[in-house]
Amino acid sequence: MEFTREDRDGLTLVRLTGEVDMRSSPELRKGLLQVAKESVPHVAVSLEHVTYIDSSGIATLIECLKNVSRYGGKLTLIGVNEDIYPVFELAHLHDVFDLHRDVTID
Amino acid sequence: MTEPSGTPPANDHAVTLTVPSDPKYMKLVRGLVAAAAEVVGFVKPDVNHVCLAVDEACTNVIKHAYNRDHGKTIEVHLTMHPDRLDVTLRDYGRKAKPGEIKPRELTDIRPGGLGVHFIREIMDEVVYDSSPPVGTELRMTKALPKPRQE
Repeated sequence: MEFTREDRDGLTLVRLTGEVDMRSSPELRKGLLQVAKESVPHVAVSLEHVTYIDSSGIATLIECLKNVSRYGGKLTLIGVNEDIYPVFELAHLHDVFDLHRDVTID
Repeated sequence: MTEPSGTPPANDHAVTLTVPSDPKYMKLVRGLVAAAAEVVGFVKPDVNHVCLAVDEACTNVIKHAYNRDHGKTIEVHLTMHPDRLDVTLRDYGRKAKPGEIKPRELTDIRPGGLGVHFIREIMDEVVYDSSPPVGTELRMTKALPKPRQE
């Protein structure tokens, strides 16, 4: 998995590429904890190029959602592709996250 | 001609993969499971789901049975039937106590506990067998969806 970060005015865009699994999710967690620590108002995570995500990846995103919500920030998941969306459905979390199939940010 | 003993029936084909209990080998497991699911006739998203279930089961073995010791082994047996895929995971680690293997409440939005939920949601049958003298055998089955009647 590759993790890249781009900071704009009040927005941090995190782009993930590859597979998010037990092996790679600690790196994702470290990156997202740092973003939340900076109290970024809007965090957008692009899953457009993520080909696989397991429960450890979903758990990391849940933790990020909680951390960002705690300081009144917003987490948006964009580029949620057809390989990834069913995992959110299985977890019954598709209504909990702000999920978008496209990659534009409101 | 009589089949030699140990040879599976003609309609059942089996493969076994033994991997170290190290997360870096889970991609290898997922690749084999995806290929076996496709041989049976599964298509997306079921192929991805079966991979996820087996991956989560392996993750639980690494975390709980082997306490994150990456030097142990996990055996993955896949039997491809005409109408279903049987998956057996064998580990030689700590046995789970009854009641320990349970999904989290889905209304409880928190990290953790999702893996077992995924396994039970995806697979049609899930049996944890702790009867072997050492370790656990997890048997799972996923049936092909029945063709729609026209």
